[in-house]
Amino acid sequence: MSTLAELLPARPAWLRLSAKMRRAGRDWPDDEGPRWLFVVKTMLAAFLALWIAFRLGFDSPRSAMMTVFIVALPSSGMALEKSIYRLLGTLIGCIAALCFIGLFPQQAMLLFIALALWSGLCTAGSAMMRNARSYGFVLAGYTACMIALPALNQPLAAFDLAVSRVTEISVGILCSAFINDVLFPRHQSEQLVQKIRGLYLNFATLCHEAMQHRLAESELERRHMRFATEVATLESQRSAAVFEAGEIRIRSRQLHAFSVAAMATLTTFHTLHQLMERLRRTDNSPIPALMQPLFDEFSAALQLTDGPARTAAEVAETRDKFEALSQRLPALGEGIRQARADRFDAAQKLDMETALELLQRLADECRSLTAIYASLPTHRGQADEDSAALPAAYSPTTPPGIVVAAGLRNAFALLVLATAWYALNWPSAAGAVMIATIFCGLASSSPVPDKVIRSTTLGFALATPFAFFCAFFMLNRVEGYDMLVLSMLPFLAFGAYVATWPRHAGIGIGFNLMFAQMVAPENLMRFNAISFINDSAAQIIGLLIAGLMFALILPEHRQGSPRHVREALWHETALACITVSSHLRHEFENRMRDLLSQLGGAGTPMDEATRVIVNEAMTLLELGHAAIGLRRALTARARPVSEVQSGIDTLAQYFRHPGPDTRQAAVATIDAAMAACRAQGAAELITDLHLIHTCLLDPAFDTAALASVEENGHAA
Amino acid sequence: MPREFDFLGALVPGLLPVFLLSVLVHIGLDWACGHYGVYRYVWHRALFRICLLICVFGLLSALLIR
Repeated sequence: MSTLAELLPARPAWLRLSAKMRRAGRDWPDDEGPRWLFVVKTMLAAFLALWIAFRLGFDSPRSAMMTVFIVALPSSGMALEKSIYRLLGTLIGCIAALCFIGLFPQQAMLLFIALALWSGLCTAGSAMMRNARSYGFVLAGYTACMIALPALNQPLAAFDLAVSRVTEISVGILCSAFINDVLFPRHQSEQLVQKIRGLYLNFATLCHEAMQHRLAESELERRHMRFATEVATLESQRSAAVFEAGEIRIRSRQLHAFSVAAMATLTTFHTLHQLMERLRRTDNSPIPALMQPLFDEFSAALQLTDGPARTAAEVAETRDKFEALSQRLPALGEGIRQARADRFDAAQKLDMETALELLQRLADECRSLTAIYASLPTHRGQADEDSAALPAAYSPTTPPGIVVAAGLRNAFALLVLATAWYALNWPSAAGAVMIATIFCGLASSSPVPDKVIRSTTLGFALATPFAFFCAFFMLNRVEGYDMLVLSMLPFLAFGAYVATWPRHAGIGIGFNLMFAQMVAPENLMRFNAISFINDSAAQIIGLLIAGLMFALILPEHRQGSPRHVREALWHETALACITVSSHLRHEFENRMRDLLSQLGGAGTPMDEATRVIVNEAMTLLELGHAAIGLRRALTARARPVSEVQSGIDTLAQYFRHPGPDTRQAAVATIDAAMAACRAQGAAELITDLHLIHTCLLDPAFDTAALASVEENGHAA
Repeated sequence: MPREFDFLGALVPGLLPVFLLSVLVHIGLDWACGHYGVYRYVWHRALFRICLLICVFGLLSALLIR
């Protein structure tokens, strides 16, 4: 069969080319446009900062320029956030350095020990935060080294060094802030809106598909992981958007309320889903089939005419649907009870009641989630009153083992290298010490430390020959600032362009930093090939040493290490059974989701061990929430049931020391607590007790599973 | 406020504390503008914000520096 295209004569080559060009031209503004805008922005800010630094006669104008490269981020909010933390970190680091120099003047070993302790503490802080603040911590640590090490034998020079460092960095920050925020604003708040829409859409699709049985188990885990990562990014973007001018700051609490509500709703949904799956798997109970009409109603409420709501305006309709549904649910549940209750045994009745209760809870939570979402665009919604009761921030949780290891590694690296520098007679070695300390610190808070170090090393190595060429074959013929710009611009623009590719960003930033560092534009240029080669070798050796430190000192203790995350998950669940706090539910949810997001932070496909941990985490999330609910109901009761309290205690014992015996003990005391509740007529406690009971007895929740997976992995 | 003053043995320009003060004032003003919805009537918020800072700094230094 011949198509129309074949019948027509072939178009000439130039016409085809021009069509291709036109298509490329049409895609350009969406695809390449923002990248080139970023390059233009960065170059403008960098050369503006350099010019001001030249005019004011700073000692090392390149620091101002390098600051611009470091804080160059795609959105205004992120750039401002990083700038502020860079400034604060530098100030604190300078003050610390002056204190150390004052305490131990010309005492090399004492000074090194003090610096190692300080920078270890700062690195531990940065590993704990894992957000923009962690950069400030790293900076406080290495600025102290930067000031104190060169001033080791000339303590009087330290003050001038500190002042010029702060001045140079402030100039860089002011230029970059002015260009990024005033001349070419790219608002974080707009991206935040997209993020929220995506989050809600994913949530609604997840519920809809799971209720219609269109979701495989492995797919469900993947979605949960992605959800945790999305919440973590939403929270970090929210904190960046606060630095932009505008109204996002008033909405900040509402946005937090939204992500908290989304997390809570997803957990309730997951609990219900797991209950149904367990019933289907184990005893072919009739309950899932009976509940299906209710689930159909529920997923119908989530849908508008064409899929779930996409904007806050559309979601108002969904909110009304849930309003109606949650009022209708008791009657619907009663209908099911009436129809079939006489044919159920006691255990099935309990399952039925638990499922109905969970569905009611889920509908209520969906209603409040959609209400918060719908009220986001209004100036101040009802969410304001709800969110006033919330903890203000999403607190990142890093397993303590990783935090301590990061601090120790950094302190050790600094101490060894500084001592080696002192013993060696290599003037450039101070640069190696500094770079090794900086990247030990920076990589500690990154989920992929190896990649950070590797790509920066590549960028540094790549920049060295270009810097050599630029410094010794171009800059020596240059007259005036405009010629200097012309000779440096092509190299730096290339580096900035490479930095816009997410996968190679490290190479681009490393390239620009090394280039600016080695070309070292100054008012009185110094052309010294020997010191150039020495210094550039020192920088690269410093990076290699940082990589070596990561490989040698506690290599297992890195961000997102599955073993540590798993331990922290159990620990958090044990805390949920003990801690007294008015926001316990939110805090627990936050921490668990944050830990989960760390597992997925590396962006690698999940291996078998990670999948087992994710599964375990989801069950722990259910258990923890049930325990918290139980504790809350218990304190609300006038007459406490002592068996329930001892049940919670044995449960906490199990979370602290997971094993078959403690699990048996927990099951036994929970059984006793259920019997006691029935005897005393404490019906509101039974749902949560039953949930804990079924979770503990679930064969899929097996603490030995991970061990067997790991053994297989080692055998293979 | 003198043009330069002696702070723990270091000469500090008098404009520095004025600038820090005006940054503090500016943070307060910025918060108020966001809270009371002033930014809704502003075309270029970031430009407005930096102009506000310059005005505050100019005013304070004209008033405080001799």
